[in-house]
Amino acid sequence: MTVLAHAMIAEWPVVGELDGRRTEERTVESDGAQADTRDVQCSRQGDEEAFRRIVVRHQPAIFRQMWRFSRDPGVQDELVQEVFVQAFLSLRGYRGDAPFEHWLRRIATRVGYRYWKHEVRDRRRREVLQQVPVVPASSVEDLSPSGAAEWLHEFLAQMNPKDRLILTLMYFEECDGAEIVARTGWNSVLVRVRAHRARQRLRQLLEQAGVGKESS
Amino acid sequence: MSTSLDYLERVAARARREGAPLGDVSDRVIWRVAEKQARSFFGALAVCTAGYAAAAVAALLFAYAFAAAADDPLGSLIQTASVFTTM
Repeated sequence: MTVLAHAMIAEWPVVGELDGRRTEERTVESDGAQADTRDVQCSRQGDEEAFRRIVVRHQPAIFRQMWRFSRDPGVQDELVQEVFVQAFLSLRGYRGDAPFEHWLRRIATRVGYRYWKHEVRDRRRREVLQQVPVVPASSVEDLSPSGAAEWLHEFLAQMNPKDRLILTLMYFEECDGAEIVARTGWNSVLVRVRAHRARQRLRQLLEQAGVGKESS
Repeated sequence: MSTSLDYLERVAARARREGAPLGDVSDRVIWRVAEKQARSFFGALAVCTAGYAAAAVAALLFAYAFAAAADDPLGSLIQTASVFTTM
């Protein structure tokens, strides 16, 4: 058991190192924390303008996050709206022991995950076959960022929603284990085991698509 | 790390550099929130109104039954109760 746990930890990708961008984001976060606390209190008392300020302050981050869940700008827009509506409705549940943005990101993850589950059900109902995305012929360095993101999004869409969520958070959002637990609200052991299995499945899919052979 | 996952990591690093389309949803969010609040208010109002109306109808029925058979109040009470049990 211990050996397995160590193997899983060792398999965890080395991502999420604190670089300049993240440090800068944290400074902005602390600057906005007081404004968040004030606006949350006012919003709870029905002040719509206070909630509008919250939306304006956090929507760029939520737009970026929801782009990982749908690459259709119309759907992305709808999802962002849904995140803020859900946030407003559960504002009384925000205790303020974690930064507001973390709480909001957790709601966003839940909204996105629910969208994927709905999408899978819808695809099954319409009996649409999932197309396996073709591995780009050009080398990774020649891919445009949006080309790479498009391919990765399509590739991860082959997984079931739970695995897809974990892998999206790992690869797209550079989340480590603790951050995945915080964003999903799932048990840490469950996340670790599921991450291990999801990566095994991903490796199989990549090898089936001929990726392992090409890159060395 | 295996070569396939290494490939994926490199693609992901490139994908993370992509800028997502941004927009402003503040007006629509405020509109949706106001709509939801109004809906829940009118929903609660409708439930209260229906409750009061049901109570008023029951009270009127009892009052009518008592007035119609003033000489036998217990009999009229049983008669009214039977109306409710057969409903």
